[in-house]
Parts: sequence; C-alpha cells; structure tokens
Amino acid sequence: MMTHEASALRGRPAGPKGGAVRIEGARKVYGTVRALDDVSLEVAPGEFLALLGPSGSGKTTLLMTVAGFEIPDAGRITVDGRDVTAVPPNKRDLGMVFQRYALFPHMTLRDNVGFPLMMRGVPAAERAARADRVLAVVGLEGYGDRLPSQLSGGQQQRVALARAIVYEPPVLLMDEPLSALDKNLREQMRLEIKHLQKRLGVTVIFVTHDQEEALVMADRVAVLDKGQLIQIGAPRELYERPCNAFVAGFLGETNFLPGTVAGTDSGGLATLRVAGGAISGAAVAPLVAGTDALLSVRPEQIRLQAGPAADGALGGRVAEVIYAGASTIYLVDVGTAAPLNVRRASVAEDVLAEGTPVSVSWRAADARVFPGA
Amino acid sequence: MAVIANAGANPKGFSPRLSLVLIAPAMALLVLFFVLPLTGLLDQSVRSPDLSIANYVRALGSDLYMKILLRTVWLSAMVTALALVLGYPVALTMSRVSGRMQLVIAVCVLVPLWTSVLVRSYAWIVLLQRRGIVNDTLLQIGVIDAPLRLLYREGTVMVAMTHVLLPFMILSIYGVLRSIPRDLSMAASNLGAGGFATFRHVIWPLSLPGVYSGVLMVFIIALGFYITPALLGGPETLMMSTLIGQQTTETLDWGLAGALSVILLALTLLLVGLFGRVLRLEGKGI
Repeated sequence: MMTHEASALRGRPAGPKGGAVRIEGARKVYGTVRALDDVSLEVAPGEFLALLGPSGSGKTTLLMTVAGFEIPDAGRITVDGRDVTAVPPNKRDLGMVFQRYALFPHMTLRDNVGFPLMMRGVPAAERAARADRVLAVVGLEGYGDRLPSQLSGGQQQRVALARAIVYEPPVLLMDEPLSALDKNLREQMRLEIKHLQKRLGVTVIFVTHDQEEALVMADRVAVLDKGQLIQIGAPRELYERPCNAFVAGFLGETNFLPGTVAGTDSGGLATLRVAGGAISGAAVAPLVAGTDALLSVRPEQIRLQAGPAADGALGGRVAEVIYAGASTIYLVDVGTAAPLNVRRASVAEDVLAEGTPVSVSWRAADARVFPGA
Repeated sequence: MAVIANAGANPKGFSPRLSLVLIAPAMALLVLFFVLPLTGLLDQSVRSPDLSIANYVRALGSDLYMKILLRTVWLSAMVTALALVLGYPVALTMSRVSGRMQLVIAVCVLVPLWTSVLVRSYAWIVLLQRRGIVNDTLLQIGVIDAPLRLLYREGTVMVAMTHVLLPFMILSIYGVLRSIPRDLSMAASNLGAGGFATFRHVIWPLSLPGVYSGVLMVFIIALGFYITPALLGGPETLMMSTLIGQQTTETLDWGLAGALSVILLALTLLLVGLFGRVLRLEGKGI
C-alpha cells in the first residue's frame, strides 16, 4: 500500500542517513527494582534494532531514556556523537511512534503530521504540502482533512508513522507499535515498516515482546531480561546460538533436557547423561564433568525414525500427533518429565502413528548445552 | 476504510420500558417539587391580583429591577471568569501530580464542597466583619486607624461566591484533563513542543469540554445564588434571587415574585441555549 515515494520525502537521493545511537552503562532504579542494570549497546546508522524481552525486562525504559522521557541514574546516551543524556525530549529531534499512536484527536491528519513542522517554524503552506506528501508515502493520499477518529487502527498507525518521519529525524523510536493491531494487519505492517525504513535509511529502535516480530523485522535483536542486556546479535545468530537458557526459551520454541555432564571433546561438543541414554550438543561455556547441565534443541532440528533407538540416539514412543497444516507436531515420550516437541513438515507418505516406537536424534552442533540445571 | 462511530444503535442500551422505570423516581421528584411549584409561580404571576400581565410590565418597566437583573448577570459572569482563572491551574496541577500530593489537593478542593454553603458564608462574615479577624489584624499592625467596611460590598460577594463555586469549576475541568491520555503530551514533546506549546496546542483545546461545562455550571448556579449574596451583600449588591426572596417573605407580593422568577428562568434558559449553540459550533472541530 505504501507508495515508492520515500525519496520525495527528502528531495535528495535515497541512501543511509540514519543516526548512530550509543548507550553506555545506562542504569535506572525504581524503588528496589532495577529497570536498567548497566546496559550498553550501539546502534549503527541505518540499522533496525529490536529490543526484545518480557514485560518488566527494561526494554521500554531503555527506549524512554533514548527518547528523553526517562533520565538514567547513571550512564550516557549519545546520538551521532552528541551527548543527549540530559537533553529534554523536545530538543532531541528523534522520531517516535507510540503504542497507542498518540495522534492528537482534535487535529486533522494534515495538522497532526504538520505538527512537528509547526514546532520547527515551517510556514503553514509548506507544512501542509509536506504533510500531504508524507501521508501519500504511507498510503493515505487524500486523507489530509480527516480526523484520527475516522480511521481504522492500521490507518492511525500509518499516520503516527508519517508524523514521526515528516521532519526527517535521524532515529525513529517505536514502542510496540503493532501490538494493538489484529494478526493479519500486524504481519503486513511488519514488512511495510521494514521496507519504508530501508528506503529512508533511518535508524530504528523498535521495542517488542513478540519474538517473531523481532526476528522478522530487525537487523539485530537485543534480548533484555530483568533490566540486563542478555544477548545482542543478528536474528539467526540469536535463534541458532542463544547464549543461555533464557534466550533459547524466549526466542522460538525449544526442548530443554536436563542431564549430567559426561564429558566434553576438543570441538566444544558436550555429552550429557539423561534418563534414556546419552545426548550431545555444543557447549556454550566450559563444563565440568559430573555437574548438572541443560540441553536445548529446537523442535525442527530433531529427526524421528520409526523403530528402536539407533546408536547414539534416544529411544522413544510417539505420544501424540498434532496436525498444524504445513507442519505436524509430534510429542515424543523419551522418559523425561515433559515429552519432546518435534516439528516435521507435513508430508502424506511420512506419518508416524501414535504409539509408534521411534529413534530420536539430532546433529550435536544444532543443540546447545548450558551449565546449571 | 474509515470507521465512523455508529451513533444510532447502542448495543448496551436499555429497553424503552426499563429506561422509563429507571428514570421514574427522579422524574416524580422533579414534577412534584419543581414543575408543580414552578407552574404555581407562573400561575401567580399572571393572576395575582387579577388576570393580567401587569406584574411583568411592573418588573420589566422598573429601572431598579432591570438594574438588579443586569447586576446579577454581570456578577455571575465575573464569578465564572474568576473561578475559571483560579480553578484551571488547580485542576491542571491535580491532573499532573500523583500519590500524596494529589490527595492533599483533592481534599483541599472537596472539603469546602462538603461544607454547607451557610457555614462558608458565615466564615466570611467572621473574617470580614467590623471587628473581624482581618480588621483586627490590620488595626493591630497599624496599617489602618479605623475598621474598614469589608462586608456588604460587591467585591466581597464576588469573592465569596467564587470561593463557594470554585470546586464545581475545578472538578469539571479536572475530570476532562485526567481523561487526556498521557502519551499525547509525550508525543507533543517528542515532536518538538516545549511545555507551553504542548499546553496551547494539545492540552488546552482538549480540555475545552471541561471548561465549557464548568463555566456553564458555575454561571447558572451563580445566577440563582441566594445564601451568600443574601448574607454578605448589602442593598447595593442586591441580586435577583435575594430580590425574589424579599417579595415572597417581606412584601408578600407573590405576583411580582412569580414574574421576576419567570424572567430569571427565561434569561437562564436563553443563555444556556446560546452557550449550547456556541459549543456545538466549536464541537464540530473535535
């Protein structure tokens, strides 16, 4: 729906013009709660960074400190090298899209989008022209005279986006902007926002609690928990090589198998003893033989084969088969507390019936072993 | 496409019969104690002493009565303006602070509201009378040699009426201010607006419904205010309701009292209607 007029917005050739954001040792304490606990990260110009975490993880607080609505107790925030830690929000020149859009209900869309321009002393006629142009960019051409209450949620979202980019801020902050939309629209808007961001070259910091959203949209994802930055990296890196059990469990689905360390080899692979035999995975940290450890393996990485346990595999029995369209989920009882969750493509000639004895295995490099239980 | 609120059908609406049952007690009370006496008054105004409009001719033809009517409107307007100027900042502060501070302000606003108007008016007498607290203090510190005449002046009535009516203004503005989402001010700030610009372009226009209802309420109550002007005012601050009171209790001229009441009521309705019209025109933009 968004037209390809993004460069018209700037009146000069498109290209990366985003700002660089640097957060150094940000701390924020509310009473006894550490909302931000020594968080440091850098966002490159033109990068799309997602801040991902459960509620109370500090992701919104971090965004608010960048926006200027929260002042960190300690630490420093710079945008393109300029220290903005103590600069009030209205002097930071950053764009922001709020969770509930925060459109001014008494102003037309043109006035809403023109508001930041009015604050910057742009004359009325130019304001209206630029607002109309940006409304066209987000697919709302000719809507300038309407009021926000006359729009659907998705359209309000687009207006909020238009208002945040009309003054060409170097950085766009987004606070769960898609959470109020229904599923289909949300998935459509993900790609639209991402495409618009690429065209404008603006740096985006995007807060979400939806791991799929983070994986789909972001260049890099920062996972936060209890005010701490746990891991930051490209979506694939985080999904395939989570640094601890929290990240493994929060991003996508996974199976956790607790066991005792039997040994490690020189290639970084560890073997765990579990109830049904021995299993292997890549160790994320040095492991001591005889201590407790936790192995994580993704449902789609597990191979199932009818018959008794093969060498180096676990023996199990199909407990339940759940057909989910493109894929089928097999719950396999391998003698652990919870059955293993295995996801396989739904192929007609390859169906394992409930009760079938199966051999369960995976490539050791596809599983991760974390110290502790 | 555009989703426009469906004004007609209300899925949560009560059936006509249930609605009638629910409003019946209040209606009965209003009819019994408001509509019937009012009808009686109207009846008196054209039949006492005999069937004519003489009472209206007397009321409208009298310079004194018209002067009192004008004074009532003017004083009410001044009280309303004063209440708005004093009340808006309080309401704004109340909507911004939280916790203990908010409680303190709320108590300061509500306690006067819960106190009888009579008590509050007598309190002003205690303060302002010839040997009252204000005069005593001024005499003691030597600012004045003789007690000032503070009571029975127009300014005194105005201040005391504002004091009595201020909570109505504050509460109706506060109610609207509190309902303005916090993220609108945040958005304005993020878009480059300083504190004053945010107020002028976002908070003030969105608070206008509360301002209008506060102004309307205070103005209408002020028009018919009786106790405070009667206690604190003198002959030169006579207001309509006090005048009407005199006709019914002292001169026992029920016909004139009825005519004056009807004139005051008509004027009130006229002003409310005008105000509603302005409001509807303003409301088109919201």
